Amino acid sequence: MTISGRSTARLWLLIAFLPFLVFCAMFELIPVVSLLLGSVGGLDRLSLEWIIKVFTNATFQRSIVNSLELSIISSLLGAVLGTAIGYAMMRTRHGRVRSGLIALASLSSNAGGISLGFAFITILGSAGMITILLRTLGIDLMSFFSIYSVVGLIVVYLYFQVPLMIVLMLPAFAGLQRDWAEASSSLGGTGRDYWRRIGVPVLMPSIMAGTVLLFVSSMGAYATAQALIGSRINLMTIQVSILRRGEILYQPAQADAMATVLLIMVALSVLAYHLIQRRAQRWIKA
Amino acid sequence: MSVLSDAPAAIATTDVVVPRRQSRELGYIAMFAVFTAYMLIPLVGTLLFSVATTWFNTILPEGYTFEHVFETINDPLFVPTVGRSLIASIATIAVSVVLMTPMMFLLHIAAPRLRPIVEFLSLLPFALPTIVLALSLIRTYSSPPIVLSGTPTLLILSYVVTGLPFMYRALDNSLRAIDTHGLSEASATLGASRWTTLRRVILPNITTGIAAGALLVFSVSFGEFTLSSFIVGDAWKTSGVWTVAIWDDQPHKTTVMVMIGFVISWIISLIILFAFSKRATVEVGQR
Repeated sequence: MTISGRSTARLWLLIAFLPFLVFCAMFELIPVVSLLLGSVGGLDRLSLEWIIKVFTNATFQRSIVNSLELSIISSLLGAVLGTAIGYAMMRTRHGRVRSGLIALASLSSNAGGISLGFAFITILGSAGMITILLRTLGIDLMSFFSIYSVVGLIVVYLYFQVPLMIVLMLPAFAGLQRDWAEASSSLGGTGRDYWRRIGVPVLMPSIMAGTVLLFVSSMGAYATAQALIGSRINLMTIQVSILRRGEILYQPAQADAMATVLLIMVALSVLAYHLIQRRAQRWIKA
Repeated sequence: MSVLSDAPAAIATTDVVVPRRQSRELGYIAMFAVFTAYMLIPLVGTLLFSVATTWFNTILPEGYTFEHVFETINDPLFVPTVGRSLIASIATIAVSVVLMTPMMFLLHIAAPRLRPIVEFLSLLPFALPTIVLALSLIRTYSSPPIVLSGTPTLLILSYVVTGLPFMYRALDNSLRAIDTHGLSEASATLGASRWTTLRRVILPNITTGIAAGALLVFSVSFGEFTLSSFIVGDAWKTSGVWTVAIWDDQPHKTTVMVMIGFVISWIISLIILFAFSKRATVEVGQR
């Protein structure tokens, strides 16, 4: 190929990639940079006032605490339950049950949005199916549990957290090879030794990576919470919406600052996920 | 909540060396039963609520009727809102496929060095909470030079952004699966240009992959609420925004809409699961 032929080919290649790169620049990168700039009041005003206020104002502080509480508890519970159920799914002798559950988990791991919020109101709201069922049994659910609370949201978020964890853990369990257990026992190891020395160390990176991903998915969740609770619970995503829409107070720069803090927390978690995931991949055959 | 106590116990009693299979199997089945119930009860609740006559103090509805379903479908806002959501989702698929297919093909055969950049840009939306994306877009496109805020165009482009990871994975997997490199070399040896190769050799072989990606894109954009409520709101009301708006006055209609959404997303997931891949699709949806 001649020099000019090669550079023409290069030019064509560049042109072929251009639409995608321009699209990403316009609708991912520039908007995010614009948001970051907005959170400090723009280049001409440049002030950390709004970012500082996110951490000092009592309402905003509360929203961070609530979001973290909700996301940490629901991701830990989701991780424990998902790992346990995923493990049972890999070990059960009933092949049909296994494939049915894998289908159910992968369908439900995509659940979310407004539908999930409304679905839970129909079962756990004040006139919900389970609420009424318990009332006829003499138990007043509303006296100790409300779907419109952080605890309620945890129950709702687990609906996608648990199946998501199962789906994330299945490859890791598949990587846990049978001969390792045999090797361990023929060397005189007990079941406990096997889990302490082989099982847990092999699975741990995957469990941690999965937990971080669940955390990310619940920190950013807005539609489900909005459908379920409106503005009744103070979460970071809800706070962004209140500040931006101005139903109570319209403070676009403050909304940008809140969104920026949320974005940084999520981005750092995704980074952590990738670092842990790289370790986890060692044991999973490509 | 009984799963909470069952789950760790099941792991602790698992003994690899000396199997106690019978009791262990029973434990598994109990876990599966609780899990399945947890996954299905909200769906059953929504279904019953959408076809219930009155339902206040009884465990099951006092009677069943399709009245609410007909009321919803005959509502003057049903066709326009669902129609807009359909238009937006289909346009999103069209834009995504055109934007990404030729590029991913070239990435595989001619520009592997660009992979890290393309991968980063395609997976970035996973790290971008939907509400943060919505806010970033409206603040960028509300003032000159480019004003798009409030238009369906911006909504569709925002859906393309949220769909990027799904399209990327789907295209990447299928291009990997068919030995794109070998096929392209063979095709080039026979004198075909890259464009001809893409059109006549590669595309026919990756249609199922593209379709799987497209269906996932459809299921995240149809019935979507966050982006549409921020970007277009009432100016171009989508089915998601309408579903939320009618909750206070006409909750039955909301549950009918939710039910329709569930049915659509289950059908799509089942198609992907059984028709397109033997593996379970691992994706993180938008919430």
